[in-house]
Amino acid sequence: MDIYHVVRRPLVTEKGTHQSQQSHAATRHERARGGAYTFEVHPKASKPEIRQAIEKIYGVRVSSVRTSSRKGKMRRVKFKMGRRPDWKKAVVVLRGEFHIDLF
Amino acid sequence: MADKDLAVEEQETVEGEAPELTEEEQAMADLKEAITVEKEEVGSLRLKLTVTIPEASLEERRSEQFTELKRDALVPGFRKGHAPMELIEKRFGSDVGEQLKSKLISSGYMAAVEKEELKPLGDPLFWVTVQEERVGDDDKPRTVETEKLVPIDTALETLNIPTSGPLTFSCEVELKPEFELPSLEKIPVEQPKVTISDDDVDTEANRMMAIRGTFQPVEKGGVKIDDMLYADMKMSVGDEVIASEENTDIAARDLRLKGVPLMGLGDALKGKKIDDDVTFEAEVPDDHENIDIRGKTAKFDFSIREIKRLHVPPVDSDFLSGFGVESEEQWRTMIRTALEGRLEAVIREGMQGQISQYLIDNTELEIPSGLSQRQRDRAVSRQMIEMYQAGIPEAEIEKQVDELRATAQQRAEQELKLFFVLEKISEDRSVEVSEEQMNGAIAAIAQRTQKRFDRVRDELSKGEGLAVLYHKLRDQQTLDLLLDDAEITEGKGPKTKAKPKTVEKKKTTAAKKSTPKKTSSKKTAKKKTGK
Repeated sequence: MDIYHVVRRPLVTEKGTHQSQQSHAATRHERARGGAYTFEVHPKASKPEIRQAIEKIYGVRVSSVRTSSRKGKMRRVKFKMGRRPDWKKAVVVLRGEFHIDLF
Repeated sequence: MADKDLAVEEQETVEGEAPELTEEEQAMADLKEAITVEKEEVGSLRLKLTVTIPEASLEERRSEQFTELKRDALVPGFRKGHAPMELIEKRFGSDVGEQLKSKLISSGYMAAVEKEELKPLGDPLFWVTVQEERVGDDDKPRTVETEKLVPIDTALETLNIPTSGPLTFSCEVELKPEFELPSLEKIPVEQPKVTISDDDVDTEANRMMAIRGTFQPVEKGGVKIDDMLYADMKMSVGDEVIASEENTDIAARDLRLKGVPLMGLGDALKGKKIDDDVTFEAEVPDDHENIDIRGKTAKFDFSIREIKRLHVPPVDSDFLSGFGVESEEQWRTMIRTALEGRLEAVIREGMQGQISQYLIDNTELEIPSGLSQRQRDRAVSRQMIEMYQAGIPEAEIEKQVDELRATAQQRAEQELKLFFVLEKISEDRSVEVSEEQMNGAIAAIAQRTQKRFDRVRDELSKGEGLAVLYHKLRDQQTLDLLLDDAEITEGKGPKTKAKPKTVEKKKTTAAKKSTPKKTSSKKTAKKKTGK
């Protein structure tokens, strides 16, 4: 699978932004670089594939990858019920010295 | 005890003398402190201001703007007010930049005016560098960079806030002249004797017929004065084509085209037929918006495509029934009665005209040397409003405005002088126009032009109409006040026509005033020559 198919888009959310500013090296008074970044990834992508893709796309070193499969939400169009596709979320933790500029 | 009370009182007075500034006032005061202004005289009563806003002020304003935005910005994935600043800046940067630019430039200009204690006249014009497409000798379009004076809305499209360093912009502003008023007590005024002659009735009848006429294509024969033409037009200065339009409508009379007065165009077009080519040369005025061609000779090439002429309806039963009468005799009687009904107003206008002339003649006042296009346009729109108020139909207004535009320079100077004098008198005497008076005047126009009130108001508010109307009403009230104090004598004056003014009248009276009083000014001039 192509790396640009593995990583679909970064998830820019309040929680994700907060996580990206945390780090194992952070203290109460000083934020450290590095941290956890959230991405939407291909539902069939594995953790090693995600790690490889992120490292190549953003030029960083990944410390760990956590994934979770999300069920698509139910949506109603008039009287018919439909469903959004299932998707996979990946939280990528970088090594302390790396940082991704998402916006 | 008493000492304590006194101390409290003193403290209160001090607090009363220096009221706390609002946020906006404080920001303006800070900006006034921060900016640097360079002044340069570029003609009488005309200043070029170069305003520099330092980088620190720019940054301060920028962060204020973003902080304000951050509070209310809704960004998907974030609760209201919780989106990070970097994201807000990226998402709304361009919009905020535009807002910031217009705010900074307008408040920078205001601060400069306050700092230098200037009394500007109207809105400033900004110097910008624009790229224009021009056709050269080889007929190939090329892009030329020129410096242009433009109003603020156009300037905002071109001016940009630098990413680093201070913001500098230049503008030109006209200043209000300083002068002393003449004595306003017992201004000598002669009450004209006015009668309605058969000629006046004829003129009014012809005017009414012309109103109901329509423009119809002319197949044979040549152009006559006042015909409407569809023609291809090319304007060039030297070898350079400045403007080119196809199938544009022009009138066969004196008019102003692309900012150039074409005096004698009617005679040049007279007798020409469809498909004929006409070349007309005229001098570009010194206040033309395009600096490069000022004072040069512009060549206009016209190729006539269609000729249309006004067809006046015959005075028959259909025509007469439109007025609710059965015979021409009755119609003429009706016109005479209507003219006589307007006599009082005309006499009053005549006397006000004399007062205006007195003010113009007896006030020493320096008028800005390069009378700008805007001021001339203002004189023209003022004239249009007067004509609207007089119930003159749009077609005829158009015709008169064309000629006015071509000859408005001298008239605008007179009008501007009178404007300053009346403005000063109205300030001295605290003359103000109420909302009701404005509405009343708009309603009167609506009634005369048979349009809805709100439509007339919308039309007026599109341009400077409402401001012009306000000034007109204020001047009217001021003149009324002066007339009450005037020394009125019975005159043996010549007969006066109780009909709407025409451009011909204006042309004949070089030294006449320019306010509402069309007929009156003519009278004044006539009397002067008689004496």
